[in-house]
Amino acid sequence: MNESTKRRWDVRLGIATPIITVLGIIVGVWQFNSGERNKVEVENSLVERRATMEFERKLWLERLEAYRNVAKTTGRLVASAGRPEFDENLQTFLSAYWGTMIFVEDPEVAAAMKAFYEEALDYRTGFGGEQYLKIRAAKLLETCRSSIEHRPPPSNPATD
Amino acid sequence: MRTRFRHAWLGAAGPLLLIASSAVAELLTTESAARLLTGDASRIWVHEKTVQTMGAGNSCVSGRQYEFRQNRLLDITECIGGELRRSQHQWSLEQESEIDTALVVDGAKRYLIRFKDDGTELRLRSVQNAKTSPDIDMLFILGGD
Repeated sequence: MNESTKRRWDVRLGIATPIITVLGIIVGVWQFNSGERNKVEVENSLVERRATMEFERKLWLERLEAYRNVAKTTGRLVASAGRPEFDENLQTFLSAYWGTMIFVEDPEVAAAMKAFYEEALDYRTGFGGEQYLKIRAAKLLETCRSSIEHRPPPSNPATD
Repeated sequence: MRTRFRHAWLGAAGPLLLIASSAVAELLTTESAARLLTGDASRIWVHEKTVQTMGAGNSCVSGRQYEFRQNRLLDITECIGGELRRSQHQWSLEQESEIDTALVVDGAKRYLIRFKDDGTELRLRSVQNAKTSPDIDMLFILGGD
């Protein structure tokens, strides 16, 4: 390599080096920003997922509590068949029927609630007997239990 | 105008009612439901009492009745447009669950069937599962054998 070629290469490298350095800095900054952005997105998504799971968990606990109340009300209603407090217990059942249950029940439980309520009305009007009422009550509570068993609560977000 | 009520239910049916009453006390099955529906041969169940005007012919004011026969035929007599019209259908019973017996008319229409305590009142129910959709009941009284 002669002297003039060597000088040309020195000039070229003198120009290229700062350009490469600047490009390296730009790529580094972009990578850092991109990483930070991804990190924020992942954190947001995790927070959102935890909030959803927490809501679903609360809803499941509400459902469990509502089903437990329905079980108690249903039991009281069946036990009061033929007694004066039957109508009062029917009103309590009706409150749950149009109240909390609508918020938490799934379609199978809703249908079983309706069938039991109608059976209670049938008992009152003479289109059904105590035996019908008991069987329908058992079906309602089996449906509630099955709903709870088949839709378990989401795992605790704190353990994720 | 004179009206005539074709509503001779519970004529001399004392003994039948006793039998029916004991049947209804137990859970309804397709056999006991068929027995209550048809009696020995056939039974007329009145949905709306039939009011006929005087004179010959089929003129009427209102009414609808079902006659269930043991041979699985169902005659429906209805007052439509001031005239009595009869139509024939087929019926069958299906046990849907321990306590639900369904009446199927012409293989298509499906009703849950129930009898009142003494077996003299019949209810056919079209079931809707949703809470906000009401079931539709047709109530009948025993018109006679």
